[in-house]
Amino acid sequence: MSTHFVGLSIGVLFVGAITLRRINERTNVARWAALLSVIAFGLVTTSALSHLFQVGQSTQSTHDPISLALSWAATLALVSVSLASPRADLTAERISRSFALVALF
Amino acid sequence: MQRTELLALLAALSVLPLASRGRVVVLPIVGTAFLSAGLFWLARAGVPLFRPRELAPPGAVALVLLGAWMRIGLFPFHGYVPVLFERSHPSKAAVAFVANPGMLILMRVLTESAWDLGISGKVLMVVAAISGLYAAFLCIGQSDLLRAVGFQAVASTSMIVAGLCSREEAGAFGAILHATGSGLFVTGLALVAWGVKARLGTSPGTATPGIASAAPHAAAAFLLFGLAAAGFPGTLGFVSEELLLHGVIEHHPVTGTLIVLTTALSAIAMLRLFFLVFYGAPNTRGRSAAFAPTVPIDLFPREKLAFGALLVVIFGLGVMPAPALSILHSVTDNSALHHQQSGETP
Repeated sequence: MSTHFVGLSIGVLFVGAITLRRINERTNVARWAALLSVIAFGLVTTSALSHLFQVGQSTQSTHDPISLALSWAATLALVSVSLASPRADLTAERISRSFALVALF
Repeated sequence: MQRTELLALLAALSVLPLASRGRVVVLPIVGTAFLSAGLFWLARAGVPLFRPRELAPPGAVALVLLGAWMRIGLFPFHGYVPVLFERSHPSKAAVAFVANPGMLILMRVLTESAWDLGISGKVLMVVAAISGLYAAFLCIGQSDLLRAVGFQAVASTSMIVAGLCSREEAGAFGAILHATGSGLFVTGLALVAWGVKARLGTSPGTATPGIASAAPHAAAAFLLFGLAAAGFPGTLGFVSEELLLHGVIEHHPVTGTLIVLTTALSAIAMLRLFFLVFYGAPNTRGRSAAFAPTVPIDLFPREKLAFGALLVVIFGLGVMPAPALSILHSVTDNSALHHQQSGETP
């Protein structure tokens, strides 16, 4: 199951990166696309990493707490960057690159 | 594919945001390569990441620790962090700081599997604490706001690593909470600084005339994020630093003292920068230089929304930390560190 989640995460990575690169010319679209993509990707990767780290642990909780806390913090921080960054087009490009790193969480 | 191999692959992918056109940050990329190589070595040796260190090849353990140390940017590999904040795009620096694979791996091996590093662990703890003090000291002397935020980031991560290396349950608990909180307030500080830089055309620093009257919301946001970084009561920074210090200082008084000094210097640095950048350096007559922009330079609504969301979380969890504490309690309750200290069998 965790492998499937990671595979899905990496798939979203490339689709998101390509999409955001294509729409960079329209900065407002890029800003909102970056924002929504970060939120969606944060949700997917929270599940992915939670399941990845959950295997073999004695805890019976649904989510791995470290993955949950850090991925929420990272997602909120990236959402803020998407909203407040002075250059929306660059933000979209950089965040598209950052998908791989968010996938780690 | 094993979990450790998956982690190694994902850690290797994490260099993608750091590689950009024209400027490549070498140190974290090399660190990530070491980290991934160490994880692959562990996987190939048939030793999962969450097993006691004694079962793992020493070379793989050394590679994982060295890679994590470089990727996090602790002394003597700290130089790239302020440069990243000063010269690169906000998203690049923010991502490198808040979603750091080196920190994630250290948290895993030092809490859940409780790698007993022996005397090396104690040395790493003291070096991390000194790294934080050094970064906070350098932060005071900075004339560039973005660079100062970078040093504040190094000070925060150093305290987190010192707490993790202490092998104390409360210290590790506080460190995980501080990692969450510092990701928020460092991002907030950096975004305010970048916003001011975008408006002034130059990075705000001690030579900038005071802009608080022209940008009062930006000034307030910077002050509130700065207070969180300084561990002011009522903020998430206070809760996490209190927990971290409580866990460390009882059995490691020297490290605890270094952490206290780091917090104090961080507070001095943040307040000094706030007054210098937003109220201006006093001129020869003892008055701050005036600044009269021809266009509005205060925060846009979308920026207020972004900073407001960060501040709600920072102050909300600072006043009512129970939700965050209850989530993270299960980490330490199920960690090998907890079982070791309580004498239970995991």
